[in-house]
Amino acid sequence: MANEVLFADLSGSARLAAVLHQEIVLKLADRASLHMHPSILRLGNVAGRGSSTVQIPVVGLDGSDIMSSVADGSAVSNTALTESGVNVTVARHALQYSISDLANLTDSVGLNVQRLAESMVGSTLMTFQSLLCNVIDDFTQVVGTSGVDMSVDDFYSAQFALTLQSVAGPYICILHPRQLADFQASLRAEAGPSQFVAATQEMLTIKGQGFAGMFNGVDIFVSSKVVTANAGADRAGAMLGYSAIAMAEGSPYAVTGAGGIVQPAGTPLVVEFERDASSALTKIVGNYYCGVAKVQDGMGVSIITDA
Amino acid sequence: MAARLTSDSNTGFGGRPASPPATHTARLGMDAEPAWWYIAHPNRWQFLDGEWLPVLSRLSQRPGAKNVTKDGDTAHAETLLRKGGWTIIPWDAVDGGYVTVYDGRNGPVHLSRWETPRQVGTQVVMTTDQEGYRSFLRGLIADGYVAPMDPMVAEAMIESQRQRVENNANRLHEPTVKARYDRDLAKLTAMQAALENPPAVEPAKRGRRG
Repeated sequence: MANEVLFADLSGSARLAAVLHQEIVLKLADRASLHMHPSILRLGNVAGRGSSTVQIPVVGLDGSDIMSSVADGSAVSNTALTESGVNVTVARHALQYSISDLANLTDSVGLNVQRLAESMVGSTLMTFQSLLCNVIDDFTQVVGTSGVDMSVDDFYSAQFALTLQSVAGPYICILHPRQLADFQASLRAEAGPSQFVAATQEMLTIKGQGFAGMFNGVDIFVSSKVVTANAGADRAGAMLGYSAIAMAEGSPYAVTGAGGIVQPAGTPLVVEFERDASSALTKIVGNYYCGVAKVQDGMGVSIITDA
Repeated sequence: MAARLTSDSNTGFGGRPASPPATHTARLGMDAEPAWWYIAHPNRWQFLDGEWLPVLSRLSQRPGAKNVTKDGDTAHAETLLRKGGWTIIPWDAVDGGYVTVYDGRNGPVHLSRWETPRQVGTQVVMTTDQEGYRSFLRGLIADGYVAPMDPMVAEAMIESQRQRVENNANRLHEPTVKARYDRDLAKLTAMQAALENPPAVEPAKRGRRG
């Protein structure tokens, strides 16, 4: 026997070492964001408003001041109006990719200029999430114990802390995956009345990224962007009332005569393309202008537990 | 043109030790983390192993967060924090500073000096020097960077801990709850004892702790 057609003989000429699957698989990453969630007070877009900072007047009206008892015929004195201003400052965040023409023209899997531009939307949402998690760690009320796993007790402590501050519901809770896992482990061990509550069962169900369930009426979200505390020993999640945190954004106007611009619907993101013909490169640049800050410190509580 | 020979080389070429190309330089597999400062607030305290210590937070130089403006200018953010009762801890509160910077895959990663990243396979694992950090916290109080805790704050925390103990007092037949109850009760007792007998504060020695 001779002249058999074997794979080894064809390899490198009529057969390839590998063929590309016709679609890409996303690298494992946390892609859940609370951007546009109603719990975040949206201050709109600063474009054309004369400043990169938006100020929210916080005024003690509608029951903040109560009337005093005054005898008939006596004059009542003025009550000073309680008011303050909270600022949210918008700043630039950007991401740039640069792809060569050869890399772009040989694309067979959908990884090209267009796809890199589309990817900017996800990067924008996670940038917002990162900013949000950078803010929720410093409420002056803190529950939890450094180095100790989050438990149902910590959840109740946070809930009680907000209740004591007269924070109106609904509340949301933002936890690191480690904190959520510890909380679920604690729930799993609950043998009292809590084990029969549907929410307890629901909290243990596997879900997608982001929304993890509802417990005691509190929506729980999980995010890997929740920052560390106590020199990395802990994570600093939070429970907060609606409008405890505010955000503002800015969208630059398209410039006439500039290169290609994409403004994805529903986001303030602006993606531009910049050609470097001599290098045969196309830059894809995403610009996102955003600011996040606390509105009222008493409306939130940081949950600092073991990382 | 004739090659010029040097006295220390009979080939005419001088060599030098190669440094690894940029693509082969070890970089920390973490997102970039801008510079930051510890901040302390009179309300944020914790009770750890028999002592009251401040719970610090961070002012990051991240534009857009907490009113840090473009280019990472923290002046406005600092003003607002101070108005809210926060104290910003300077880097030199401890000899050598408390922030360490690493080269990350997307830029510099600023970590506290008590965090040590290690690459294990494809993951970054962080080890923490907890005793070193606690020593730093004690030093902040002793050196006057953080004011001693107001007894009212301690009483509020003790009350919260008491409520936590009492909430579980009628469920001691559940082993997991009993374990939590015992731990919480021991902590409550220790909190009260520490409040009644506060440790002596050493005289201020700014910038001498590590």
